[in-house]
Amino acid sequence: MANSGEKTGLYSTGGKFLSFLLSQEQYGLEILKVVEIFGMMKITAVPRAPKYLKGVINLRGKIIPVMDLRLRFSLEERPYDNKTCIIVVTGERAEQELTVGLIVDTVLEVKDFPAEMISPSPDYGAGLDTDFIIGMGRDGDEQVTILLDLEKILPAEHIDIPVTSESSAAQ
Amino acid sequence: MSAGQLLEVLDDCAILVVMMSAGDPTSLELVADNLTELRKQDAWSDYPNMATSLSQVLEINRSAEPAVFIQAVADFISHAQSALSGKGDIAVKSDSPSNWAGDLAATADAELIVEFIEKHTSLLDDFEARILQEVDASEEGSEDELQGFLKSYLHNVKGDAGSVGLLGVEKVTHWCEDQLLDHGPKALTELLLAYKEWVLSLCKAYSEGSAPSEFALDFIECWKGVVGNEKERPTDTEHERGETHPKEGQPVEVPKPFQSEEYSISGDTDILSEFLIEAEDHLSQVESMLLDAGRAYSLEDLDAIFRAVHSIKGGSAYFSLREITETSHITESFMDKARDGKIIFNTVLQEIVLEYVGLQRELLQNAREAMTNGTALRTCEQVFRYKQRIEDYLLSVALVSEFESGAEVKDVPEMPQTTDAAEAIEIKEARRVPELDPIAVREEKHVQPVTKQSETEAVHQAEREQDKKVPEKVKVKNYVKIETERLDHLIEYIGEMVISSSMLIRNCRDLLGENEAVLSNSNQLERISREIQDLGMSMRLIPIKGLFQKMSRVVWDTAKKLKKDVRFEMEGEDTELDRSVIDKLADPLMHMVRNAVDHGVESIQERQAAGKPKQGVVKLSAYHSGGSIYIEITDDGKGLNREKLLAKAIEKGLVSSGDKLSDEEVYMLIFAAGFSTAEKVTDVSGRGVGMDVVRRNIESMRGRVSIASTLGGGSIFTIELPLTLAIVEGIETRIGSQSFIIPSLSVVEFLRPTPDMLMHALDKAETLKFRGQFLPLYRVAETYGLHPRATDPCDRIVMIVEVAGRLAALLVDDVLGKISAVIKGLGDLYKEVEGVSGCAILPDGAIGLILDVGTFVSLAKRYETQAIPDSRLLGPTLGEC
Repeated sequence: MANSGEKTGLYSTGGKFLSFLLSQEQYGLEILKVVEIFGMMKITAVPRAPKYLKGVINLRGKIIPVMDLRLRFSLEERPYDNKTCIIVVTGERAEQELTVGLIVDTVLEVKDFPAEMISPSPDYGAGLDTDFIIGMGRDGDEQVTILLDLEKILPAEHIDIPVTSESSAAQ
Repeated sequence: MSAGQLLEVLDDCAILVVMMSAGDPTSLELVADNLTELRKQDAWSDYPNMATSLSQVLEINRSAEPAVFIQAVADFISHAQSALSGKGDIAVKSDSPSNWAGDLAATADAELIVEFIEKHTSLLDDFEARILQEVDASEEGSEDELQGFLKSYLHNVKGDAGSVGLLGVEKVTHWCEDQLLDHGPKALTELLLAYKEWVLSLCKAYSEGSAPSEFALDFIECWKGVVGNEKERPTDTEHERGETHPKEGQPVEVPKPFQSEEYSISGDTDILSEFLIEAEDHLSQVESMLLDAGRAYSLEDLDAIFRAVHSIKGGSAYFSLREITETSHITESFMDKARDGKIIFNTVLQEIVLEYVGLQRELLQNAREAMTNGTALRTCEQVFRYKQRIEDYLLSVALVSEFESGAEVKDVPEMPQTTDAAEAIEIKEARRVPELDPIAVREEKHVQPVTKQSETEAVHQAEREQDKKVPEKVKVKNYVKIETERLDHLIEYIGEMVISSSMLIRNCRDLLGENEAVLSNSNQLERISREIQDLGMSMRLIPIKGLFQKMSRVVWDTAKKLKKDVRFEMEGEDTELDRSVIDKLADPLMHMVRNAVDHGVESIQERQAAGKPKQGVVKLSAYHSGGSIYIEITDDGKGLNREKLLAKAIEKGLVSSGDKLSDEEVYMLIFAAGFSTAEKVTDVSGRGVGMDVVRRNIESMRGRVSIASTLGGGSIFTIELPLTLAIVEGIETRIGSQSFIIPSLSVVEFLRPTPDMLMHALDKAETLKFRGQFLPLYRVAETYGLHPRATDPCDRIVMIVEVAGRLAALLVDDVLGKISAVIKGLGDLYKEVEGVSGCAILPDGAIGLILDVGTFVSLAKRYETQAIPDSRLLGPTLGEC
């Protein structure tokens, strides 16, 4: 896993992150990539796609694919409730701008993590791919926020590559 | 000697050239000696083209034609300098501009060349179409007309190329013109087509900043032999020389007395009205510039005027608006001189240009009237006078400069410091030299009354008129040019507006359905938004003509390659299609047309043996019918052979010998991948790849192909396409909790099945008995892992759909109604979802997936045979949101 050491950008500069909850853990996404946040809405399922791709939504006339982050990280699926949110983000993939909705358990707040507050993610070895983690954001309190690299979360070119394999399912 | 040293010598020569004059043989010899020395340098090996042109310059007879020699030398030096120094204002970013050598003038203006390229790429297509069209038409007499058209077009290209500095193009065009005069258009079809390709390749090379693949001289050399029995005419070199300096070579024609002549407009009336509007714009621009009095004219101003006049000239020549072309040409040439600083742009010139503007307005008005009424044009005397006035003026300038010969060129413009034209002419008269006497003759003659001549002319005209068909009346339209991108945005927003307004209307009716005002206003809104949508869609429509014209070339090329005699016809070429459809249609249509020529039309011998006319016919026609567009490719060839196709299909294992197939089904076999009945693979077709691609391309546009054929009598391939790719017309169905839209073009009918219609083959493959046919029944919900409303097909609806000529049955939960909606993509994350071609926003704001019947059926087939697919691909279950 050649990942540590190569991380530049946010890891070195820090910045503002939107934090959210996913299965009791706090995660953060760079705020500049967030377009908007809203509660759960009707999703139209698209057949023959990986399970974590929930389908598409109609955002004021624009068709946006939505991805369940729990399923993306092979966490346990859970029914959506009134706290469930869709975070619409804009990332880049293969030099193309891509707008995607991410389903999370609930959105928390915007947090500032200067560079010195971010430490590299521990290396779990081959068992766990940490490529999509920018680093661990430490706050005043004990809570640690896992800062995610949006571009790495987005599925690669072809959607039919297997999702994170069963063996690496977290917790 | 290096290029740098060559450059130094050239600089020296340039100074000598300024000093030398026609009347001083010693100075000529001096320059000639210098150049001869220069020619011997071996550094030229890097610039073969420059070397050749230098040799040509030296071959000119200096003592007999000193003026020609001087100009040739000056021209050569400027070329060579720019080529060697690698700069100059040439826009070619190429690292070695010498690649263009003599084919590109040193003074070439990149902007003008780009304009030239833009203009002529489309005109050349038209040019080609005309040639091919006339090749097909065998009537006598049309040749003259074609000759006229080709001549005027080539002349137009030549003029344009010369003035923008594409000397190579000018040279070749001139040569082609000569050939045309000598041999007539019929003998030259190949040359002219090759000429078109060559010019296009040159344009492409220029825009890419690379060197041309073939130089002008090479092209001429290459075709000289082909055109045949071409004698080395002594005039040839003269022509060459004449053209190398287009800017100076002001064609002073032999003066003729004024005669009112009739001439008619050629070319497409739509394009003509576009041109008229454009020309109008240019004129107003020039006028406002000139009338912004009291200021000095900068080089940019002159440039702008020059360019405006130039565009008018180019456009008018294309439509044979002779007078406009002539006046513009002459105005352009002196504007060019003014631009180069050879003459000063003073009040006299300003007045002349203003007169030009006025005259053009009148001529354009005449042209407009002629076009609307379908009459021919008459030349008018004003034009004649105008031309004379300028010629006189230019002559006076030239004379003045001759008197001042030896002095620096720059001094010349100071001479005509006259404030009005009459005075300028007086100067000319005072300084007239004997050899210019023809002017006197001309002046006498043109006093002659015109009436007599036109009387006799009129009789002739009346006679001619009878042969000529009176062109139809056309309405002059007004246009605004819009960037296509902006148009696309507009249409996108219109689509969204229509959706939101229908959502709003639905809400209003649900909530305030009783209120009469709400009802009538919402009806009004609905109507208006529908109309806006229609209008928006129509803005993207363009006639299919251009595409058909391209096909005529395909027919011609293919027929020639296969040594067949095929005539191309088209019908309904004014049918309008969405731009995106036309773009996507080009490829499949080309394949089909090629196939028609290759497999459809028989060889000449076969045709004669079958008692058919020697010449085969391939016809393209387009028409609208019931919300679709039909394009037919008809040939009168041998038709499809059912038995042969079947045998081949069985051999390939595409069908089994027991299958009972209808004729249409058998014909559709030719669209199967890898299917080819051609005995041998030619470089035209026969690999069986083409037709498969054709079908897929057309299906991707939600269209379909059908075939009708009679053995020995020919075939008709019909492509049916939706009016636009931006909107789907379909049946909205409910499957599980979701809406699916099935395009109307695929749907044959839908019904609620009864138990006796359903059968199970091998307990698995469900089959529907439908009007005596057994159709495979595919369950959409189950294939996609959705939760159907009911499991029993008898509680659901069966859609009978057509896929590649075969019927199939799809089981859906419910049919909600007919819908037309703007198609949207699923976004980049979903690439090629099998069976789904996109989605659309439904009136209630939900998203409906558009079912692509063709790919769905092939998916379902695999699904049936594969037992249960990977659970991962079953997709999410619904209802949890």
